[in-house]
Amino acid sequence: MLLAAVLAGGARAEPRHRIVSLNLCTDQLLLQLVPARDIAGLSPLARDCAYSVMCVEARSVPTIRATAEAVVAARPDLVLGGRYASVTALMAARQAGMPVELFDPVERLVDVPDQIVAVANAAGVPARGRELAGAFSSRLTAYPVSAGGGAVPSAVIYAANGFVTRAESLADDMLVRAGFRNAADGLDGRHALAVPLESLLTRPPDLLIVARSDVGTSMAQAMLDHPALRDAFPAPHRLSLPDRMWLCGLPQTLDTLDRLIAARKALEISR
Amino acid sequence: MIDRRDYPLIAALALSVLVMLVLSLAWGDSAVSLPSALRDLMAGRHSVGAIIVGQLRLPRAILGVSIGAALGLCGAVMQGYLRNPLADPGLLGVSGGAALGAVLVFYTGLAGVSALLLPAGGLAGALLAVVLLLGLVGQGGTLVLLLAGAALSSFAAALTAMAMNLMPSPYAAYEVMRWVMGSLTDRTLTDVSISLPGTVAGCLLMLTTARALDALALGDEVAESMGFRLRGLLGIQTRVVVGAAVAVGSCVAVSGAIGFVGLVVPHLLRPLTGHQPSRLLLPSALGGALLLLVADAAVRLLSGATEIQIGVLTALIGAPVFFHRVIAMRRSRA
Repeated sequence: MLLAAVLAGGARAEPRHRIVSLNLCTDQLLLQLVPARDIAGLSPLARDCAYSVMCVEARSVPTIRATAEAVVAARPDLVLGGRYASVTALMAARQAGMPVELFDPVERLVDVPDQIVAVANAAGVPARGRELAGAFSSRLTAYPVSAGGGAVPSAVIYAANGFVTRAESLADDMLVRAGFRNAADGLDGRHALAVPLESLLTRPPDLLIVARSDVGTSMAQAMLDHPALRDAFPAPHRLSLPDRMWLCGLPQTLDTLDRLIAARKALEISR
Repeated sequence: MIDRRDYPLIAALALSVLVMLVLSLAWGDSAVSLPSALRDLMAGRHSVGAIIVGQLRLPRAILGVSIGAALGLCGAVMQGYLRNPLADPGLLGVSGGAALGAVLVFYTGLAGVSALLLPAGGLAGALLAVVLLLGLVGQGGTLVLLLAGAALSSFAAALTAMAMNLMPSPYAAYEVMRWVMGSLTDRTLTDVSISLPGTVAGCLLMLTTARALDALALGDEVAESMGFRLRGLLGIQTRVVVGAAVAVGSCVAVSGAIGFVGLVVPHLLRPLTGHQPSRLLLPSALGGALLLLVADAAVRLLSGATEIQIGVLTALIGAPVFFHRVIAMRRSRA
């Protein structure tokens, strides 16, 4: 018994070989940190190209349903999950004596390297984690600090059903870093999450970023194609970014930042 | 069809519709100067006001008028044809069938192939529902009609909900309400252009039955002896069924199933038109348009963080009328 505990404790630095991840963000980090054979299961969303930038890579790895039964039966040596979803499955895994690590969603770009390192440490591949996090940090610091001077253009991230992204989110931090002001909070105090088309058009931001998943057809997404939006936000004032590019703090998040900065430069040229 | 005695009523209704139409263009979430917006619209300038009035409020107002008129007229015609004051496209499952047809076309992405498939789906659903309804009811009375209608509309609503739960879009399941209760929010001029032709055609077809409805009030034999053909390809039944299905199908395909308009409006106007089915038709269409415009204004006034569906409001107005009918029927039987 004691020996087992010592072995388990000592094995913490050793790479894990049956890792289960129940969260889209840890799914995508794992795929970049550990070899595919060490992953016992990812959440099904990881294979969905609407939400995952690693969807192609995820197809070579098994998926697992986020139910208590499926997780315990997979006999993982590490379970990764988010703080808010699949609560029952994670609790069952913990009760079955499996090591469970929970991660909060990243809300700032500077926190992404920390999360990469934390996931890597949990998976027992700290060296690979430091490598990936270091690359991210050096790429991030290479961006010019968004200059004050002159008017900062405003932007609104507009998603299905008229939902906007407000402050204290990764997407908001990316907007600021790309040199925009998030205008969502100035739009309409009455509506907590969604902003009606009319309010958006009355106080139009310099850039409308349409965030869409493009899965199936729905009225919620059809409103993003409303001709009123098309007329009010012609080419340089409109950027379409798929959902998968915002959802998680990943090395690829900086590609999204590149797109935002390119959109800002296009705006400045058109002025 | 237009009786001279009804001129004041028709004029008053038409004037009210016009006033509400202007109001619904002028009034919304944001303050926009209507005259300057209209000037920009005429000049083809893409100003914010022109976009808001032309692309957001105008389609909504036009659809409010056309759908309200179609539902009101459809209620009046169905009540006249079935000789039953409880007939209503929503209550009898015609709107529900149309919503099912439209949902199947919209969420499978077929509507992306051709916009015309959307009203076609609504029409097919509505037609199926009317044919089923008439087949089920036959010569049965009010009770059979209402039972068949209740069965049809709940069956269609259940199938609609199930179809939407099975669709790939993560938002589909949350939009059941919009189709079952109806909504006019964020409609486009494209929606107007695909819905209006069918709505107008269906209404015109139903209006051709006006004189026959008067004769039918005296019974099938009397109507036939007066020279009205009831069955057959060009018969009254075909015209009512096809007219109602085309009109309701085209409406529901863009707005969802808005209930009770066809029940309430003829019921309120019948005493004012001398209880004569043919005189009821035009006022019912205008009354329906007025009711829907008022309900849509109330939606904008009452909605908080999430929008109230317009069908909720028409049901709130319509259900008490329905209660009143039920009580009146019990009294007359006792």
